[in-house]
Amino acid sequence: MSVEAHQAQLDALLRHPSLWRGRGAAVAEGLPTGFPALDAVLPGGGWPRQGLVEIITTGSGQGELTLWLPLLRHLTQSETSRCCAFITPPFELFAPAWCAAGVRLERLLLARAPQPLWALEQSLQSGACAIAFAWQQQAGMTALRRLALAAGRGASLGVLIRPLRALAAPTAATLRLMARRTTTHLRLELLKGRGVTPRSVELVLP
Amino acid sequence: MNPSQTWMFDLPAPAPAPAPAPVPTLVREVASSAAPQPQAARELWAAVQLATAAEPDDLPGEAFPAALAVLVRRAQGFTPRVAVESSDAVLLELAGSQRLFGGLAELLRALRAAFPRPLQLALAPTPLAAVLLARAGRNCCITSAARLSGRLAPLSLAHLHWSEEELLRLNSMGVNTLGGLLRLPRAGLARRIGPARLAELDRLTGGRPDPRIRCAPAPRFHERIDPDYETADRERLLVFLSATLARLEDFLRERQRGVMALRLVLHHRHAMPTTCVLRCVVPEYRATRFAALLTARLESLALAGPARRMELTAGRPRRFLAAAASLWTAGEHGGGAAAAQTPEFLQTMMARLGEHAVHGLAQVDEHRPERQSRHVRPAPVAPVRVPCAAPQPAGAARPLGLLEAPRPLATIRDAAGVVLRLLHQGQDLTLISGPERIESGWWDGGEVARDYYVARAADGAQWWIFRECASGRSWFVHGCFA
Repeated sequence: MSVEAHQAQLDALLRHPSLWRGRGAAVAEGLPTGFPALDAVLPGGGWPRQGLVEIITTGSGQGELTLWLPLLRHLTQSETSRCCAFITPPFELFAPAWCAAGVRLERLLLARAPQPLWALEQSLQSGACAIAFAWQQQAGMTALRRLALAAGRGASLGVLIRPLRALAAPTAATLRLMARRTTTHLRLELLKGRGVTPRSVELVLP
Repeated sequence: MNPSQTWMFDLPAPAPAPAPAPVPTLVREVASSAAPQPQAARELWAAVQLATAAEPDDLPGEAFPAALAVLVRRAQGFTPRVAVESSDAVLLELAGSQRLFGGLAELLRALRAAFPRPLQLALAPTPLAAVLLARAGRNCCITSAARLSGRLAPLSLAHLHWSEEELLRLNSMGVNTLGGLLRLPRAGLARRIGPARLAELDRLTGGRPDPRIRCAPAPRFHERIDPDYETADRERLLVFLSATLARLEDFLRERQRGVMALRLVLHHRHAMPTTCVLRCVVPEYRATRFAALLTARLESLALAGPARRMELTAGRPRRFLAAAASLWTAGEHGGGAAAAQTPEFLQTMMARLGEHAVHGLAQVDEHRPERQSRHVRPAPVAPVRVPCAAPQPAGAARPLGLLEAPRPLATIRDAAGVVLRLLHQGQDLTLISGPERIESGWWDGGEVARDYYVARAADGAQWWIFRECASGRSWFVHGCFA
């Protein structure tokens, strides 16, 4: 057997998710983002299956939800799907746009909560939601860690959309991204995360 | 000729003849008790008698006093055939329950545990006999009809609760005990005490059937809780409620039902009562769940003061299928387990945030953007797959987020009033596509005429804005391409 063949076998073995190789080596296979360019740079080749993702934007309208549409479409279309929760969004969700994007509306759940972090924690740890979005300015390290743990318990993915101010604060999130629209693209900057090398990637939104 | 049949014809009021029974028994019974033949005991009635007559109830509208209501509820745990005899006695027909409780001895033990002294408890083949024995304080169990008259004989006539005058008349005849009364010749007795009383005696000894009206179980659970002291402390209130919630669970378990709604009314000394309604997404029966939901609900409830009385009313009991809990935690092995978690999760959210704060989303066949989305009750279980309605016109961009109401945009105009710059949150907007005209709706008073554009702000954010075609031609922002 040639050296290359051995190398290929070894690589396949090392990529096995149940093999733990210390820091950053074994990352569980992610959920496809629907953007090949993004899949290529994210650890695990996609969004993390569980945990907390922080998205930093300068404000609404930066494509912070459009980015998730392919995943939401995938999550809501499967037969045994769980709900997708939106906790206190700064606007009403506009049904025709979600429908046109192929998202099943029956799977969406909206909640208006005076304490969005409580509602987000409930959604994440109950296991009833596959993914939960929340918009929050203030979230301390303790709160973020709590949310990440809740997401682990419920095997769900939490997405926290935060303003630019949050950049200065430390984070316990699995992944921290910054989203910004340019004239033609959505520019994502991978800032922090397990197994993430800080870099930026440009996506073409549908 | 059968002697008992001769007597039956002698009766002043014609009564339906009892089913003929074996002759030897008949003769023996006639000889001993001088009454029509009692049938073989097919029924076993238990009478539970309160030690003292219950007070007349203070609450109008209730069928019977509170103490009796408790007895009836407890009795319905033994048999569905429960009847109220008087304001202080309850009857239970137990012949059908013996096997369920594992024999008569076990049944008696369970009965005694449920109806402890000083409640009087007596069992007899006829309801009247059981009541009489209980009134007399004979806590006994008579299963055979043959032994019944012997046991009834020494009882005083006062337990019959007949009128004073009748008892005096019998007393003057030298009849003081039930035995003496039953021994009198029927024809003479009928003349002296009237056919109605004679029929009553026949029912007592089993000579006549004595059907009873079944006491229907309460359709809904309702209970009043009087705490030992007034308190506004939510945890203490929950402690006071816990026993009631446990009874609610028993109530629902017995019926194999669940409830979708629960109403708790808290009465205050100086303020209007506080009402708190709890709604479930699926029928629920577990006390622990109710307690958890009430905890969440009470936390966000503003109490007008300490509660001095609480009333818990459950909604209509509904059929439901209790599902087996999953072995795996949610999401561990596929999403199968998640479906079971969803109702509980939704209930927690709705209890804490309020019923209308949690909702689903549905599309409406409409052309005006503000009417195209609708809030719906969240669906706990996967509904059938509904295809998306009303495909959008090709090329028309629709934002993921729509503002609750269009917000006016700041404009900078030149001297002639032509718009030079559009500002949103202090940033210049550039139109990148449009216009798309959406108009009309005069038929329901919601007429619109707008030209929609997609605009890009200086920071890159994209917004859905429109200009009114009619008055003012002013600009508004309506949606957000989030």
